Amino acid sequence: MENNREFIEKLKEGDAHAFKKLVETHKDRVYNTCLGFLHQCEDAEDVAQEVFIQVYDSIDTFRGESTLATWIYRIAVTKSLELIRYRKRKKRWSFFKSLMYGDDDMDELSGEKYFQLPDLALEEKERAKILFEKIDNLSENQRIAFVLHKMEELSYKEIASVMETSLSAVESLIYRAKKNLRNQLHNYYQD
Amino acid sequence: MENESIQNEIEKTMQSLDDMEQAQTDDFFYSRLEERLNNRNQATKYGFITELIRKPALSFATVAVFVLSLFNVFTIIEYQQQGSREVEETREAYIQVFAKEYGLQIPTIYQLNDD
Repeated sequence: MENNREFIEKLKEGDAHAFKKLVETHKDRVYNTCLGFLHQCEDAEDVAQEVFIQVYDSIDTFRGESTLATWIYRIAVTKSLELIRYRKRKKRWSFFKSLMYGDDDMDELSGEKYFQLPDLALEEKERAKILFEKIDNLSENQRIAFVLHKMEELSYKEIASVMETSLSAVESLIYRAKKNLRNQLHNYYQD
Repeated sequence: MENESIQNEIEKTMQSLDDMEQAQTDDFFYSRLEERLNNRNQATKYGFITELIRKPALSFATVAVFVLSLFNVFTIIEYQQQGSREVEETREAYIQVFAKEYGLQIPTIYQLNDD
């Protein structure tokens, strides 16, 4: 279905039925990907919707050089990172405001992140929470590669396609991501 | 914590996501998306005017910018006119002085009578 030329043409023509089919096919993987970056269900759903709005708006630009799924993953990663950057800017601004005006708004941003990890036992939830915190400290590319590999179980080849980079680059990114995570966890458990 | 114990904890943590099932959206995801697209299309249709009505702060800011722009234009025009008046008055004063220096003034009836 996915890369069927006819299906893509229908999408480009604005066929509502085709668009709905696309959304139903990809919504869970997009949501799961966003959750892997954002850790909050509301934000992940919001961004997932924005991903499909962008797909709706820019389907004409899809040239078929990659699969639809790859293209959608790429948008999901980009949108998730945009929100993360926005949160960081907001946090910096809130910190500045709190210095200047003694504003208490910092509380809503400096508090614990709201992790929602269904389907895990309590102990595993705690470990997953710690791991997500350490994943957030990785460089952007390492984070993308690791999240796509761990959360979406994409192959290295698929990740290379999403990130528009080489297979060897992805291998290197995941290797370094794991190494960095282990180092962070070592420091965490040693304390 | 002993090194072996730390390594054990690290490995368990690294594997903590392995058993996690893929998260799923609910059944109303598409409905919400559809509504969002429809709302967005409505907003685009009426454009800036709708935004002005929906967002009072934007309306206020637009009016404030408009008023300030008018004020600036008025000030510039007034300044230019004042400048012209001052130039004219100065020019007139110089002509009077020049005329007086060289006796070029047209005598009034009183000056003629004095003579």
